[in-house]
Amino acid sequence: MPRVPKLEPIGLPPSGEGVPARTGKQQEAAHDRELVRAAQADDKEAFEELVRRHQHRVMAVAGGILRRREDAEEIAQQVFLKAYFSLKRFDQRAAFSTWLYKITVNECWDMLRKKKVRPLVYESDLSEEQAHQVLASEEKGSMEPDISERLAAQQRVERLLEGLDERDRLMLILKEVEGFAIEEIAEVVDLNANTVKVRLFRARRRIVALARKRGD
Amino acid sequence: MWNLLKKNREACGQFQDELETAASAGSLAATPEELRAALTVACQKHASSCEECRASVEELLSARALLRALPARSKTPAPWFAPRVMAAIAAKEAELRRLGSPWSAVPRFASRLALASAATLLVVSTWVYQRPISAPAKEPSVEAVPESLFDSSQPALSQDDILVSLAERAQ
Repeated sequence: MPRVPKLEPIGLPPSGEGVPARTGKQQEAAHDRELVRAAQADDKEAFEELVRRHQHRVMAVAGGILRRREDAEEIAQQVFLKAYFSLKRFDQRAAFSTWLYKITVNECWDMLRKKKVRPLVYESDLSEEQAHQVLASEEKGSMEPDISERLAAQQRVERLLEGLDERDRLMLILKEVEGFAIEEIAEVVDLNANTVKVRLFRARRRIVALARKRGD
Repeated sequence: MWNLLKKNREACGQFQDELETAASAGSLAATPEELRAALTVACQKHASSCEECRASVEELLSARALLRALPARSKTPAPWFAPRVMAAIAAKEAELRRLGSPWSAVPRFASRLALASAATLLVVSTWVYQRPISAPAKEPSVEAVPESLFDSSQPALSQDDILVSLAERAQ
């Protein structure tokens, strides 16, 4: 039986947000609701559209926790499978994206628990993702910055991120790398927006301090 | 003194809050000046007197510069992903349909079924074999059997009577 989180209804959005952005988000949520209703009535195309709309966000959250592209893709697929087979029980009291984030986070922690490894991986050999980057840079030619420098910088940052709490690391990656809004991050990590802001502030301070200490 | 500290802490909290909002609204490549300009006058005034808050602007930008080295997964196009998910769903549904048919349960339970059958056979055969030994059937005796089932006039023979009659017959 898949473990699918039950969610509370979404509260009203906090004040002080830009009206056009909020309207856009509301329209997206309304479109999601229609697609979910259609998918609940066994419309596979509607579900495929939902996958297309949310795959990047799910992949970003999974990648923020697991850090390996291959793992993130595997988990993202599992998340959508689980969502599909539990969709009839999803009552739409919460946004579809929020529900998906919860499934993603649960799946990622389950995977880490099963693997019993630290989420950050930096190996001496190139990962599949890094190999792709190398190949892509070779195809583009010498106009791109040196790939080995970029990979080294990436590994340095991965090591610095290891010095942070797992949840703070996820928040920082979602905010600064993936471009999530504070409210979205709050949904993912199940904290309120103000707490997210404070923790992001501290996480940045910590990572900069670590970088200075290590001379990066 | 305590009130002053509390007031300062509140102002720092408000500064952090506004800085975060300004950083979210602006571009990722914003300069410290651009970020400070996006703050309210009160916060700008606070930053001029609070060294920690001034430093936080630099920290935000330094952290961003560091994290720029990481690839953004949400911006990587993956046109193959949705078809792959749908194919996995179709495969899973086919598997569930197969598992749902009545005969599909047979291979899964075959070993258990064989074991249960063997155990039952063993118990039944043991019982059948043991039954005649524990309760041997009495051979019907001509003398002992009354002529009629309803004939209650003849008294039941005791063991001594049987022994006496056998001895008499031997003579």
